[in-house]
Amino acid sequence: MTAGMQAARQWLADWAAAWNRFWFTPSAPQSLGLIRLLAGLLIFYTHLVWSLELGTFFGQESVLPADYRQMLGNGQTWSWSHFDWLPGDGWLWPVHIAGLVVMFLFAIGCWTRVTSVLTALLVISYANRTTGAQFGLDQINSLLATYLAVAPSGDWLSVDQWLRKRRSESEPEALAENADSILFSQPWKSASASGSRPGKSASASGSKEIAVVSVQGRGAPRSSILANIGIRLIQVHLCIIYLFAGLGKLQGESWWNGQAIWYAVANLEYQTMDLTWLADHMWLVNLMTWAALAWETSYPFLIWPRLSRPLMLAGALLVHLGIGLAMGMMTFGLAMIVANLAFVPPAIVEQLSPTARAMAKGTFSRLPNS
Amino acid sequence: MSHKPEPSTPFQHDAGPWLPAWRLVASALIAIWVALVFLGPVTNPSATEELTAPLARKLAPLHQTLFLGHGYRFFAPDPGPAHRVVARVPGSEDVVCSLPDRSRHWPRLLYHRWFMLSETLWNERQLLPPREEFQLMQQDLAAQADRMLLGGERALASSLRAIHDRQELAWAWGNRRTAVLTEHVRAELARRAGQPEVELGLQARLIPFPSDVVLGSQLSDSRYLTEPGRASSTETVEAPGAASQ
Repeated sequence: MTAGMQAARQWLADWAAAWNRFWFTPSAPQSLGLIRLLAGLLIFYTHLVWSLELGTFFGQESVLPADYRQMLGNGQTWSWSHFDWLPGDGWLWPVHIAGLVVMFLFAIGCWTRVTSVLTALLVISYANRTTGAQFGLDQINSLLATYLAVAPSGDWLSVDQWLRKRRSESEPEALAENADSILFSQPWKSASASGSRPGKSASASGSKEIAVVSVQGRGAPRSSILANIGIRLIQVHLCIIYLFAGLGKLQGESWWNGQAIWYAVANLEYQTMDLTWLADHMWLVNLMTWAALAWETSYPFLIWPRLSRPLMLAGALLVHLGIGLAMGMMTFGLAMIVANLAFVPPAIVEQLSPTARAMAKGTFSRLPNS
Repeated sequence: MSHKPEPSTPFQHDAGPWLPAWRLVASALIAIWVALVFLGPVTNPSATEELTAPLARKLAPLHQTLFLGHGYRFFAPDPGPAHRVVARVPGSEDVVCSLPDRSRHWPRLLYHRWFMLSETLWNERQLLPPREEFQLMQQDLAAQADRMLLGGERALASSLRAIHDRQELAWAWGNRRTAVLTEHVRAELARRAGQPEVELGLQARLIPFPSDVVLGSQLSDSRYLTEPGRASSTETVEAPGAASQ
């Protein structure tokens, strides 16, 4: 009995430790920063396109009745939109332009703490108002915007980061002159930033050097637990999406008889690329159907092991680019690919992004206009 | 071999691990959130009458407020035919306007918005059984509930009555919703076509078998375009509580 209790307690402790490791290990911000930049631009574009039919979809005489959502809920709805609160169509354009400005600022990482939350609210609000014309893109945009608002997504590839860096570069001299007083009043801060022990930082010799290191450290991006939580939430949400998309397909006859891809690419209303030549090579259609099904249903399980992750990510790239190119849903395809970046480690994102590296190392600040 | 690459840029670290109390609160919030996300596709588009449908009704405020609760059944269970809305001048067979329209709706994302609207209109009409058919179904259900009550199966009878009432409400709202949406789309297409009045038609574009395409059929062949009904045939019935809207 005691041994059983002990084993159960150990098992629970192991699970708690694994949970802590999974959610509460600090993460570097590169992946999150790249996702913010790309998702932000996609979100901006998605809503910029509404400008072409703003009155038609959002106005008082919209093609989608304002109370359509309420009728969907049999007279009751909690779905909300700031467009419902506008007193008249005269407000449509100013409110829309203000929304686009917020989304653009979020994309470039300007005042990200505020603009990320506003963007998440705006994405949900626009999607709610256009219930009846929304599709997967809005769901993925909202997923990304929500988690990017939770996490410090402006710590990399952002105007915020650039401004922080600039401030930290312009301040050292002035601060170094007063280094003694800084060190004296806040010895623990400089010590932790310079990596030296508290006792060492208090020594008079080399105190200016320590202060400069401290100030430069302030400009560097932060590795944080919230960044990890944001990335983890995107990962888990993505797995739930693929799991149910895959399970849903298992109910369909065409996915079992290997013809589903044919019915997708031979749909004239979707078609952007003529793939009817595939009718002569149905074995290839069968193969693609089965590969897509196998990839999607196994994604939630095989994306986690380091060995199979590259294969799953390559599959995501192929499937979503394929949907984008052949079926005209490039925005949706790109949004899914951007979400998949959550599984690319920050170090690899940094290696793949020379611009980001240059920004982080200060090249950006040496450009003529900066 | 298992070397994990580290970012080359120097990073600051947050002030160390979170306090246990913080982690506990964060863990609870994360667990609730993930459960909410997971319950979306579990309850949508289909749900069990006894467990997940009541759960979905309880979670609706949260799901709708947070824009969660999606089914995520992309291209499932089967990729099917596409649907178009066409507008004709009354008495004429000529289509004066259609949704979606490749030649007018650009960029592609805008085209897709109109495409989704035509799909919504199609789905609304497909999900709504004709009034007569629905009433027969409801009468059967009510009779079944009465038989249960006579047989002493009070709980079952009450459950059937609840389903009957829910369906009645859903049909009334569905009918009103479809009528209002159809009317708004009709008005918009009339405006676009520059006509005082248009009639709407809903078309399904069927997908040819691969063997037909091998034999020379084109995806755009008119025989793949069917029009089972006209959108204007929807009844307008006042929904319960509609007067107070």
